[in-house]
Amino acid sequence: MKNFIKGSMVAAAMLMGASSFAQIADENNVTVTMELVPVLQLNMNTTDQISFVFDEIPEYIGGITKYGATILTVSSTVNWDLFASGTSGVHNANPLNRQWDFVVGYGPSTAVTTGVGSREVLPLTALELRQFPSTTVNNGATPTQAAYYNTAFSAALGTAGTWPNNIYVTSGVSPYTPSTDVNDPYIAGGAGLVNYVDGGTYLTQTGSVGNTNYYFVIDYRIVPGLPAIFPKAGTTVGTDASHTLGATGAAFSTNAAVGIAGAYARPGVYTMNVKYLLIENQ
Amino acid sequence: MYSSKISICFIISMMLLNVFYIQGQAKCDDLTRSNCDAFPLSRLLLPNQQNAQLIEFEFDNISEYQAGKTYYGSTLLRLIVSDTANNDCIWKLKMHITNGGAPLPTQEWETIATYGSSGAKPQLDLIQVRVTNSCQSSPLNGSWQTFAAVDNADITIIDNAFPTPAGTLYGCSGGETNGEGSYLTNPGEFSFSIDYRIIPGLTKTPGKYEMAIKFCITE
Repeated sequence: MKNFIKGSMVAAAMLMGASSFAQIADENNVTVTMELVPVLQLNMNTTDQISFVFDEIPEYIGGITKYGATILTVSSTVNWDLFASGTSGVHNANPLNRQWDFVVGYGPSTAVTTGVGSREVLPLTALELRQFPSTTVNNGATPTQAAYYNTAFSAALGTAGTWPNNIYVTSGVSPYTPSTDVNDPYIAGGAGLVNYVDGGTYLTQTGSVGNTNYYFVIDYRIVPGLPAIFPKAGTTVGTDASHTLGATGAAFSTNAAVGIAGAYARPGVYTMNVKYLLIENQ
Repeated sequence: MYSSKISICFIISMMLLNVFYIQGQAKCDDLTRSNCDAFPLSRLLLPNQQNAQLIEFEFDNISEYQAGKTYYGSTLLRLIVSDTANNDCIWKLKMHITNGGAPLPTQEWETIATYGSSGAKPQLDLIQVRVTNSCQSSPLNGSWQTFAAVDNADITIIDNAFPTPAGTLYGCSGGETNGEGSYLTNPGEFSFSIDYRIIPGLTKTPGKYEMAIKFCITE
């Protein structure tokens, strides 16, 4: 009897094992993770130094234009904005000083900081930009950005009343700070979330020439004027309507009281820096 | 007296069988028969990730975003299937995609971290898979497949309604093999190499995402 019961239990156990094995069902899992790192690439395959040498009277009067001196190509995985920001050493040190760095002076003239005479303080906004393509590059559904560098340079003679081509220069904040004013120029996209360009790359653009959102050609112009008061300098940033040395408007620098009849730029070497900033739309 | 005890043992074993059956359904679904013994094996051959069932796609430059990334043979499925009796074992092999389910939107990857706000969240149909074996026993063999963008969508690797026994030793049957056999004797029909590919494009929301693919063998 006991042997029979034991035998039955063993048989049942074997049957149980066979039953559980018999059902074929199993699974294995593979976990897949994907990390999308935001990538913003701005390439400039042209020279990173542009020299303007004014040594002829017509150059002072008509200015010098450097066509296609900078070519920018964009690749981005996120919505982006592109803007140029004019700056210098003194501007970086104090963003209220929107002026070129003075390197060396020519001639015996002694610079003054007030009144009539030569000044070593040149406005950064004396540099003008023009972009190609000249179409508005903005993919926002209801774009509000008003200013781009896509208009022709104004006539060289005469003092400007508007400054659509003057480089954007921050006032009181870091030169890396994008403007929140739609009237300050961008190259593509614009101020605020509603103005932007979709992610993409110039590598896969198949549109006609001038119809790409990821390839930009930049022209530069400086018009010193005669006398050298930089009649085209000015900006819409802040309350400084004019930066010309000969104007009587508000100062563009805390280093000198500029803007008075009889003031002019001291001959010499000056440098400034243009930062092209590709940023995620914000 | 003796017969009643035998009956009790049968009842217990049937109850246990039922438990296994329910568990199987919860994992792989559509279980209706029990004519096979199976020992499915799976391991990953990704470099530096031996035996880790995790495949990581990292995109950090434009060319990778544009051209995508492909991991070849990252998963290698090896099967051993034996018949319980009657030579009537028929099996099927599927893969299911899942993002973990609700409350996530059914079509999206599970978001682990976000690095920005622009673009669109990646959907489950972003990943592509390709199944190959040397006998080309799957109808999908060699072609890239995408899942439907919905949680628990599946892709069938082997689902043959007609019994197709394995070929000769190390050979191929020439069809969609679904009978007993082993990757040891018929590697071309009982092993499957899985490739993975993702091409994000340039309009996805940056971040880290996760989902899982389940490989299920059922009768």
